[in-house]
Amino acid sequence: MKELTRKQKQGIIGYLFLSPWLIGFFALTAIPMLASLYFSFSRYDMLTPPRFAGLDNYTKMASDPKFYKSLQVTFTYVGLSVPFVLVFALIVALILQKNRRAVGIYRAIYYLPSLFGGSVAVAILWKELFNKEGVVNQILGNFGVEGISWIATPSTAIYTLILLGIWQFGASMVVFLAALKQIPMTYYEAAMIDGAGKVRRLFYITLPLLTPMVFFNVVMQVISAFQSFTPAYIISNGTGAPLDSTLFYTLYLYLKAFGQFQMGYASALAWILLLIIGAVTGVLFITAKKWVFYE
Amino acid sequence: MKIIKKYVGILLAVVLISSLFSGCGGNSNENAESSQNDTSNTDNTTSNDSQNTTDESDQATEQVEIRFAWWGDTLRHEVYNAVCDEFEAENPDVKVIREPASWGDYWDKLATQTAGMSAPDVMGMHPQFVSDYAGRNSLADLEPYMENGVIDTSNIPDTIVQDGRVGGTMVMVSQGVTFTNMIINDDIMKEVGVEYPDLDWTWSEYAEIGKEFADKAQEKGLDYIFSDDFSSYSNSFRYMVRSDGQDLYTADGEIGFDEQITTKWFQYWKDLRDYGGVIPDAATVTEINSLPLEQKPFTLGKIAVAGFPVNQLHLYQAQMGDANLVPHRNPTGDGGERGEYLEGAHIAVSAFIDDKNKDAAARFVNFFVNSEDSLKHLKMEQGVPANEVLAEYIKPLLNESQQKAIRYVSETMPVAGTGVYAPVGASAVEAAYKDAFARVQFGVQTPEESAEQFMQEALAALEDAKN
Repeated sequence: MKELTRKQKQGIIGYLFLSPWLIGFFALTAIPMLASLYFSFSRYDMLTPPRFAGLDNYTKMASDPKFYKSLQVTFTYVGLSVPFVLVFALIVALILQKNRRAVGIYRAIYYLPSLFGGSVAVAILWKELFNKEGVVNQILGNFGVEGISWIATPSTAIYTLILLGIWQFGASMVVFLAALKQIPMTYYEAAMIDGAGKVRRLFYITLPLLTPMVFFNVVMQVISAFQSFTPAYIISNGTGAPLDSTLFYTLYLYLKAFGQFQMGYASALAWILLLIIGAVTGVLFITAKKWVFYE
Repeated sequence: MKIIKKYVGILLAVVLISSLFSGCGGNSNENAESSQNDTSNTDNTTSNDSQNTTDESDQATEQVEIRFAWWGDTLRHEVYNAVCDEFEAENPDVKVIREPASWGDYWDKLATQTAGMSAPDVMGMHPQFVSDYAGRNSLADLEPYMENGVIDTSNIPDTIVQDGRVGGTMVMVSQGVTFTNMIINDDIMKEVGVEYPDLDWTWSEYAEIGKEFADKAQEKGLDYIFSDDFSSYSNSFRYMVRSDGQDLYTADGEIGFDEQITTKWFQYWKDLRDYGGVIPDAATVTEINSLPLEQKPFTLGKIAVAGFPVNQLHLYQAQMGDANLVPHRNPTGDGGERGEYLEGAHIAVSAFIDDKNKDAAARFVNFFVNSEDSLKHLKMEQGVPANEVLAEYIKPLLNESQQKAIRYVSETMPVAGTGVYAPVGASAVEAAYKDAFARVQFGVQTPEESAEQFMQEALAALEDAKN
C-alpha cells in the first residue's frame, strides 16, 4: 500500500513539475488551435458569436483573386529568398571556418542580422534605404543614375523584401559552421594524399557531409519564410501596396482578421497555410532520401 | 556520424513541432504585436500603480473604477491623462484607469475586448466604425442621461447631438467637430505665382489652377508639385460623391454611389496625373500614403496642397516653421453643390457594465465635453468643441495655427450636412477602394474598368456582411 501511494505521489509530483508546460500547451496552443479550426468552418466577426457555415470560407477562398495573389507573392518570396540564404550562409561559413585572427568578430557580425532582421526597427530602416529619397538612390545618384522608389513600384517592391530576407542568413551560417567543424580532418588529409584539389575536396567531402545540415536549414528557412510578416507589414504600411505586390499570405490573413473582422475566413486561411507548409515540408522530406547523405 | 543523424532528426522534430504549433499567424507577427502591447501595458501598469496607492488612502468613500480607452499619439496621451487627472481630482469617488493605444491597435483591441464583453467603460468612438458596435448593442443608450441632465447638451447644437444617434439609439457624444479638407502652403503658391479663390472652388477650377501651377513652375524651373493625389483618400471621394447628391452609403446601409461618378472621379485624377507636375506619380503617391507626418512631401515643402483633418493643422505647422498654411474647403460641384458633413471623434459608454459604473461613466463623459477643466487641456485636440460656450472659452488658449483651424471650422460648420454612417462591411469596401485607385494610378486598368470592378466588389462586400 505504502509503496503504491508513494508511486502515486511521485506521479502527481511529476505532473506538477510538468504543469507549466502543460498549461501553456493547452491554453496557448491546443485549445486556440481547435478554436481556430472551428472558426474556419463558421462566420465570426469577433463581436457576435460565431455561426456555423460549413465549407463556405473554403469555397469562397477558391474564387478569391487576392488569395491567389498572396500565394503567388509568398511563393516568389520563399522560392527566391531561401536558396540565396543557403548559398550565402554556406559561402560565408566556408570562409569563416578557419581560425584566423578576429574570426569570432566576423562571425558575430554576420550572425547579427538574423537576430534583429525580422524586427520592426529594421523594416523601417529598410524603408528608408529603398525610398525615392533613400540611401540607395543617393548612392546611385553619385553615378548619375536617377533611382526609382524601390518599395513603391509594383515590379521591384517584392525584391526589396527578398533582399531583407537574404540579409538574415546568419542563423543558417552558424549551423553550417558547427557542422563544418564536425568533419574529421582525416578525410581531407586522405584526399590530399590522393591528390584531390580544393574544388574536389569541397564537392566530394565537404558538401556530401554537410547535406544533413543543408536539409535542416532548407526546412527551417522554408517554414519561417512562409510565415514572414513584419517586413511586409511595415514596409507596405499594412496594405500590401503597391498593387498587392507585397501582399504576403500572412499579411492578407491579418488584414482579413483584424482589418475586416472576418475571423472565420482568416482562420480558414491559416489552416490552408498550415497545410501548404506541411505539404512543402513533406515533399522536402521525401526528396531528402535522394540527396541527404547520412554516413 | 550516426549521432549527427539522430541530432538532426531530433532538432528538426522539436523545431517543426514548436514552429508549426506556435500558430499559423507567424511568429514575427506575434512578436511585433506583443512588443507594441508591452509598451501600452507598461503605461497601464504605471497608472494602475499610482491608482492603487491612492485607493488605499481614501477607502472610506465607496470607489468606482472606470476604464477609459482612447487612440492617439504620445502628445494626445499626455493631454488625455491630464483630463483624467482633473476628473479624479473633482470626483474623488471615481478612479479612471487609462488604456491608450495607437489608432490601428485601438480598433483591433476594442473588437477583441468587445467580443469578450470586456470593452472599456468609456471609449473613443468614430463614425467610421460605430455601426459595427452600435449594430451589435455593445454601446450604452445615453438618452436617459441626457434627459436627467447628467450629460448636459444644452450648449451643444442639436445637429451635433443628433449626430450621435445610430439606428435610433443615442450611443455617442462628439469630442469635437472637424473637417477633412485641403491645406494650402501659401508660400509655394506665391513663389510659383498662382492665385486661388478664398473659400470655395469647383473641381474644374481646381484642375485649371493645378495645370496653371504646373506650367508656371516648369517655366520658372521650380521643382514643386501642385497637390496630393486625392483619389487616394476615400474621404475626398466622398466629397465628390456628396456634391453629386449621393453619399457613400444610403441610410439603410446600401452602397449610395454609382459607377458613373466613380469613373468620373478616377478619370479626373488620371487627367491631372497625365498632365505632369500637377500630382505625383503612382509610386510616389504609394510612398506618401505610408509616410509619417514629418516626412510627407507637403511637410517638407515640396507639394503645395495636401489633405488632412483640420484639427491636425497645428501638428504640421509645428514641423513647418513659419510657412503660411491656409485651410481651404474641398472643391464643390460646378454648380456649387457641397459635400461637407460633420466629422470628428466621439466618446461612448459600454453597454456591458452595471449601473453604478454607467453612472460614473456618464459623469466622465459630461466632464470630458462640458467642463473648462477638461477643455483647457483638450483645446482643439479633436476639433472644435461641440459645446459652443467652451468653444469660445478655449479661443484665447490657442496658438496661431489652432486659431486658424477653429476659424475655419466655424466658417464651414453652417454649410455642412450630416453624413450617413458606414454600415457593417464598410471596411471591406474601403479595402476594395484602395485597390481600385491603385489600379488606375499604376495604369493597369482604365478608370472605367477599375470603377466597374470596384462597384462589383463593394456590392459583394456589403452583401457578404449581411449574411
